[in-house]
Amino acid sequence: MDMTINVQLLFSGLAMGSIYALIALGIVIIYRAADVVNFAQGELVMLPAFIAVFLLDTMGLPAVAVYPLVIICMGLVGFIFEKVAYYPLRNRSFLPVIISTIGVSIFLKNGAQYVFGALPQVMPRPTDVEVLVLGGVIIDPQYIIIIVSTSLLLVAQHFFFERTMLGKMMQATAQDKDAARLMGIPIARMIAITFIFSTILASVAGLLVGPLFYVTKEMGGMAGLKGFCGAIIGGFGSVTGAILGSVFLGVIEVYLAFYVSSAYRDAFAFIIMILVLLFRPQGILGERIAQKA
Amino acid sequence: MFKSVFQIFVMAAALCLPLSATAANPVLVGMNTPVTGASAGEAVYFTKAAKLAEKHANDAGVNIKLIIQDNQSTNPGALQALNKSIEQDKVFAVLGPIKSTQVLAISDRVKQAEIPTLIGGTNVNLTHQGNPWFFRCRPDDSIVVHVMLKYIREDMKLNKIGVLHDADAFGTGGADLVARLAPQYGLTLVKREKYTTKDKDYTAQLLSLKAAGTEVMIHYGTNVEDVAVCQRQFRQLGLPYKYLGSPSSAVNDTLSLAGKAAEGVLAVADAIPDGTREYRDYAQAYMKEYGEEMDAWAAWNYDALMILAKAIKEVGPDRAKVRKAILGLRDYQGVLGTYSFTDNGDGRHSACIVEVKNGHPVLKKVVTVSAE
Repeated sequence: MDMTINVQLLFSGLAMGSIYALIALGIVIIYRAADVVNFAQGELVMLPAFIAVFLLDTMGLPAVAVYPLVIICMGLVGFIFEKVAYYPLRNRSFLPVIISTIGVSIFLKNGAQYVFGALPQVMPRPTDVEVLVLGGVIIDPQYIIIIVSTSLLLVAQHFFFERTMLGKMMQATAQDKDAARLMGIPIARMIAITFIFSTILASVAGLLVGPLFYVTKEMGGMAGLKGFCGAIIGGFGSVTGAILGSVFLGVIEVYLAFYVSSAYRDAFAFIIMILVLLFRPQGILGERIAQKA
Repeated sequence: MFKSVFQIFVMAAALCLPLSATAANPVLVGMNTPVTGASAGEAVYFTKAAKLAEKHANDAGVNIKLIIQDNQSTNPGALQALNKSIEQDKVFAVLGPIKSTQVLAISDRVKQAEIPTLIGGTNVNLTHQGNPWFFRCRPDDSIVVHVMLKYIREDMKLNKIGVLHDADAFGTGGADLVARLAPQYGLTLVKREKYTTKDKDYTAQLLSLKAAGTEVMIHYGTNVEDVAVCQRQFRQLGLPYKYLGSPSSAVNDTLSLAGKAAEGVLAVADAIPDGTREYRDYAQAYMKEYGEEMDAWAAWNYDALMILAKAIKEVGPDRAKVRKAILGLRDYQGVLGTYSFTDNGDGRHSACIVEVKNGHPVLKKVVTVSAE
């Protein structure tokens, strides 16, 4: 088969995989810290894209100002989200919290339509370059931006968790709440920070795919599910696993769509997830099946 | 003496009331449209078009009142909205949905309630299932496909076609028709690719069509964002084949999203842009009313309602008579073209090919075909 086609597919797969990875990470770090799965993660990708379009187009602010502003706004959204959807239910089982995140997801979707209208909107691209041609391979520059930004963010995140006090406190909270509490770590605050952090990851994903997808209230739905799939394939609960699983999913999906059948592209993602659950329930990198400490 | 004259006058007035729709008693028309849900964007334009028709009909002395019911972009929603229109609003007629599956979902109820329903769904079968109350105000898919294939054969003079389509009922139905009718025009279908609605990456499909040696791709897409993303990737990949799309490829929504990427795209269109006096009058009135450009894709709502108003004006608000009047309509000049209804309720029999230039669809050729 033609090599250039394969390379083109690889880039498109890596870019989609990077987006899934950002979403998967957001889901996993909340799961680790608070033992709940956040089903509104996809909508937290959609909201920042709408805010960015509003600030860029309607307010006419420059992109340099808009991106940080959106991330700050979304940090605030993450904080409110934790206080409204998680905190009051923190002592209940995981089910009420999951339902409450689904509620938030529906609220955000319909709220976005109410505030921003039903029409899809265009988010301006950060670069005017339309295509990059590298040795006969044609690549959307936005793919490169996505892949590079995601990689940088992941490196930064690694340093944050391993090298800073706050990161270590968050890790300790995720690993063992009781021990962390005994060490004098304010658990509730750490969980709130985790929600903010997770929302910021989702908003970076939103800002990155906005120019690629067009901004609609539905844009986060499928990406959110794929991120969840990626996290399961990689090993639910593992940060590295979530990244690897999502990138693997993004790439394999594109190749299967090309070589097998494009109609079942989404189905492949879920079939792979089911196969992983059947034959390697802990995922590629997951901890052993035993409950995490 | 004076009193009895007055009595007679009152009685006469009372007798006339049910027949002539007066200001106090307008003819109610239910509108079954996606205000919320996946296709909520469409309803923005649909209701604008319908509201304009309501206004123009009232100006012309036919007092109709539009009552909008949200079908939530789903089949159960369409049925629910119809029931609301019938039971709660007690409407005389219905301006139905544009999605074929939703039209199918309401078919039985429409037939049972005997309510004249003007539809925009283009699946061929909708008007061939013995429902006498459906009146289709858009060319059906077989006409659209015939027009595309005829144009490829006679004007583009190409042979190898590839199809890319949405895996929903509309896209699959269109692609099936292309596959079935292509041999009639001496065309070879070299590759068929599909995607699920809201897919965001078409690289695999577009490259696979290239690998199969496609000369022209027929894109049967439903959702405008999908079509816009696809057009951008088509342009980015610099593909060697031509792009000929279904009507959604050249509607305002797609063009404003796709921007430069849509330049040079060919598409089938219901209407001839700027082709007729009716089209220009409508565009002008629309601009005056809403301060924005009209959307040709939504204009069938206007035509449908005006056809209904014309029938009501001629025969009064009597459903059986209105049905006869609509079916008897010949060469009615609407915004989108000429309407002549067949006995099974199909109004349109032509479509045209447009090319996108500077962000606007420009007429290439009007193609008229006989329905199957």
